[in-house]
Amino acid sequence: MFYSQKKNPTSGFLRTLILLVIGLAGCERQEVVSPGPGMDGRPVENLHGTLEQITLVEITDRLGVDFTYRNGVEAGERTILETMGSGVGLVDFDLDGFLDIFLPGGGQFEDKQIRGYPAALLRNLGGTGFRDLSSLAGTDHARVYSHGCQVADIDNDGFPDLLVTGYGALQLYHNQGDGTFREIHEQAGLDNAGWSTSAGFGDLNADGFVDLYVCNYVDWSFSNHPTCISSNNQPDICSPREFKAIPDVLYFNNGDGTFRDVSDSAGLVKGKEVAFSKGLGVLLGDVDLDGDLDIYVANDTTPNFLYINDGLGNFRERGLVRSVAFDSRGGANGSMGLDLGDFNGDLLPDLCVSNYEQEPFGVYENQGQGMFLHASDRIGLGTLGGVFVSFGTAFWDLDRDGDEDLLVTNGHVINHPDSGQVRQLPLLLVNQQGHRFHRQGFSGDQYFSTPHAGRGMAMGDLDEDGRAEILFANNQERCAIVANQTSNENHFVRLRLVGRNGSRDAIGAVAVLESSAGNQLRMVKGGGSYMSQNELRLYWGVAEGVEVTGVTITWPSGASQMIAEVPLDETLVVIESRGTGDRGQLKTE
Amino acid sequence: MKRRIFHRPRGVTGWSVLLVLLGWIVYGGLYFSTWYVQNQVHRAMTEHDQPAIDTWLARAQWFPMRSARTEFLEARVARRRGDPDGMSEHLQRAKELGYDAESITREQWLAQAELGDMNLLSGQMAMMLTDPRGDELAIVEAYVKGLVRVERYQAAVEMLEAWCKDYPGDVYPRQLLGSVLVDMSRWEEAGALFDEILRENPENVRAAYGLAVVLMTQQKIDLAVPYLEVAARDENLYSDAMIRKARCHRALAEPERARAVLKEMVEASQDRTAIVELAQLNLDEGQFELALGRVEPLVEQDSRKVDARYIYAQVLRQLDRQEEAAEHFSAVMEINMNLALANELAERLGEGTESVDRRVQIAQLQFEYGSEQEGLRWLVDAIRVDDTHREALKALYEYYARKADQYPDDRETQHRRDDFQQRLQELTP
Repeated sequence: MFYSQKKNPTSGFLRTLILLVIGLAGCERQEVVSPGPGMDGRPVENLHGTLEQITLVEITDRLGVDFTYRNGVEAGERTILETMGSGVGLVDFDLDGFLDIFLPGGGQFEDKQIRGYPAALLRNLGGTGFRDLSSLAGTDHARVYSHGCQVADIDNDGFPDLLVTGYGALQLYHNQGDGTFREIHEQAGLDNAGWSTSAGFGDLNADGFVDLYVCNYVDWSFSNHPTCISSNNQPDICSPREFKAIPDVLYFNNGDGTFRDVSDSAGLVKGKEVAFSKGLGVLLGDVDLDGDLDIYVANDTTPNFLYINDGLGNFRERGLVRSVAFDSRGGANGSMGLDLGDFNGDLLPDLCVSNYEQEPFGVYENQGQGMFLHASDRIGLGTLGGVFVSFGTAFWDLDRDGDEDLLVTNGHVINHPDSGQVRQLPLLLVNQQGHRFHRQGFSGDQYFSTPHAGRGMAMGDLDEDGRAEILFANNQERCAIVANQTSNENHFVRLRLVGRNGSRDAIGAVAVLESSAGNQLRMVKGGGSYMSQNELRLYWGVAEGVEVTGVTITWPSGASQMIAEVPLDETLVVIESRGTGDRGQLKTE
Repeated sequence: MKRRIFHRPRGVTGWSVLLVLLGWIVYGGLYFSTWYVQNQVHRAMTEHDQPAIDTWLARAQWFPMRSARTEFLEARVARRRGDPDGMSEHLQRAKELGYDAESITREQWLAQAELGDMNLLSGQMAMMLTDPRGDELAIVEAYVKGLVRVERYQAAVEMLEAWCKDYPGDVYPRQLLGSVLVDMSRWEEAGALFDEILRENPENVRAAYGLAVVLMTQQKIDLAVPYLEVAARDENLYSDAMIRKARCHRALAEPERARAVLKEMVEASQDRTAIVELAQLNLDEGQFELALGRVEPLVEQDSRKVDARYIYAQVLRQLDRQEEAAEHFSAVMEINMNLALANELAERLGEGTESVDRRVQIAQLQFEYGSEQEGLRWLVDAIRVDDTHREALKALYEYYARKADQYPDDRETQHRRDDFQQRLQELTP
């Protein structure tokens, strides 16, 4: 023990301390970019003692994609705007059967003026590469400092349209069916002038056209731009607590290419609860399986909202009483991304929510009738929050074993976090037969073993090989495409649903795959992840040896359709029946 | 011939001399014993050996000599225990017994430094370090705690690294460094440090606990359990370690083991957190009546604690007692909203006198929606900035008046009540 050690009273220790004390106000630490916690680079054993075999390989260069979302950090303004980052959308805009990529461009600051950068529309060249068609397609208007995007066929003309969120305005690009887009947000009445982050489409009032929920964040502007100091005593990005919330907006589609603001009449929060409305993520899905779309909103540092639909587009906020507003200890988290899936195979949709550091990654298990319980502790995710500031997230069966795994992308929002980890590792959480999730490690110089400024994330099969790629929209860092190259004997079932009695995208449809290994539920969802758009096709993994006996689809219109012959390893297009005498159509793609 | 060295005292003078000599010997012995025991307390404190501190401090109290220093050491122990009231009390007694006034002031600075008073940290503390008077490590420790308190982690790390470098044989600064690295979410470094300490001494409970925390965060939950078992051997870590162990079992899909751990805690000490965790387990498993029976008394005891109340509301909902559930859900929301407001106010707090109203407002919110302890802390903080703030003094007087009514035998509380009443009366209207 040091007590017995003889020290010179003017030791180096004291001298160092005195120097530290004197220099306390100006102490500075170099930013550390660490590979992050917990990962020794080796694949980890699962509960059964076998090694996980999900193989994820970055293919961005191979596909010729080189796009960086820019946030204007070089201006040195340290605005909260630059922390939000970026989304990515998957859209087959030319209907050639291959998913194209849409990437909002971000923005910059010039003498306290906020400017936008153009988005990129990358056309998929048959799964072998991409070509930037932004100018030709007319989607390169740098009108706003942009963040996220959403895809939906707003007028049921068969061609997917594009929505861009950002600071001060929305942009709506109408697909003209000839490979070009026309910007129509003004004519369409999308007059939201707030700072929009995520958005979600879905037919909320059962009129056959997709409506639009827009998350707005806080009232930051250059005239409300305080100086904030990090715990390391350096100027840094301010916390959202420094700003007031601005309410979200709900637009109903008039069916003629225009929208109307129904936020007040449809039941979005009013009064003092508006203070909670710091929306960063939104998901439209039927959480209580009553045949209509509900809305779940991830709020930053405030309770999350769950709007329950009465079927006609009238909502009641029930997040608290359904136990999805808080974590298990009754506290609000800084929530960012979200998804809806059925991790435990009980045919009830569960919610996952990505949160700020030191907060548990939230999985809310559906107890039936849209009542939930926070399940993170029980399924091994309660302690995962530690260092991660989590954004985009998705349920997806990557190993095609019949249960949905979880993907999360992470990155810090401030310049000088205590951990020093501005860039963070993405996470793959492998579902162990619905009981718990185990984090898989990656070794070497792979995308999942190197830290990134993760924000948006989208899932979609770019090369039609039956395994979805993962698209990462990073903040002030090149976007990335990671291919799932997991090799096993498992199969998949994939459905593309085309609605005819409701909206064409069939957002809100619920499908249950029946098999000898049990049934699995999937849903067509609006919004989700963080500022991003997954492909809308439904996907099931089918383990080797499992026999698929059929799939039952419940359409948003309420109609039910049973398909007995379900092909494996192909995409089945299901066109909704129009009613008596019409059995709908099936074809493989 | 036999020579007598000692002769029997003759007469009154001889006996008097002998008695005086004996008196001096006894006094010297007592004085030396007190000095020795007090040094042992100091040594034990330097070595962070709590059982030894308790033992030697108890012995120091046997001796009537040097009682001012004993009071001073007790004040230091109270400060390190995080007991500001106890510290003030002992310092006051030390002062009354004539202990060196400058040392008392320095001790008060250390206490303030631990609370993160940045002006003090960059002012008087620097001065203290140039003249540490053998207290350099106490100063550094207070300094580090202060920096951690105001979340200046990097400065704390630099200081601890210097400490570790100069005292490579001392495990304490390494333990502290590991804890600060945990606070900073620098898990890998913290884990490596705790691991290194445990290689030297596998029984180091602090390092075992720290490593378990790191492993849990890295989702290596099964590996954390044995370290938590080591940590649970320490009286101060027992509760946290056992709760974490139960959570590990729960995350490993071993609810029965989790339940056994929690039940052991409840049987031993009616640990509140363990009861809440047991209720959560019951809720997970659909045992709603059992869960209700566990959390209902907790809600009755303190309805401000949202963890129990949130479970209570969920259980009532599952039992189809919807109206009652709605009432408790609303209360949880209200508590959250108001504590969020308190946090927001705290985040925007300055140090000037204009901040005192805000401190009082935070205190009021904490009293109503948080905890008495936090409310009291903010009131004390308010009068630290402005000791003539009427509202803060009034609130403190009312607090101690309530407590004095509640505990009529507690003289210290009565003394505080009277003190604040007098300070209020002294204010010009």
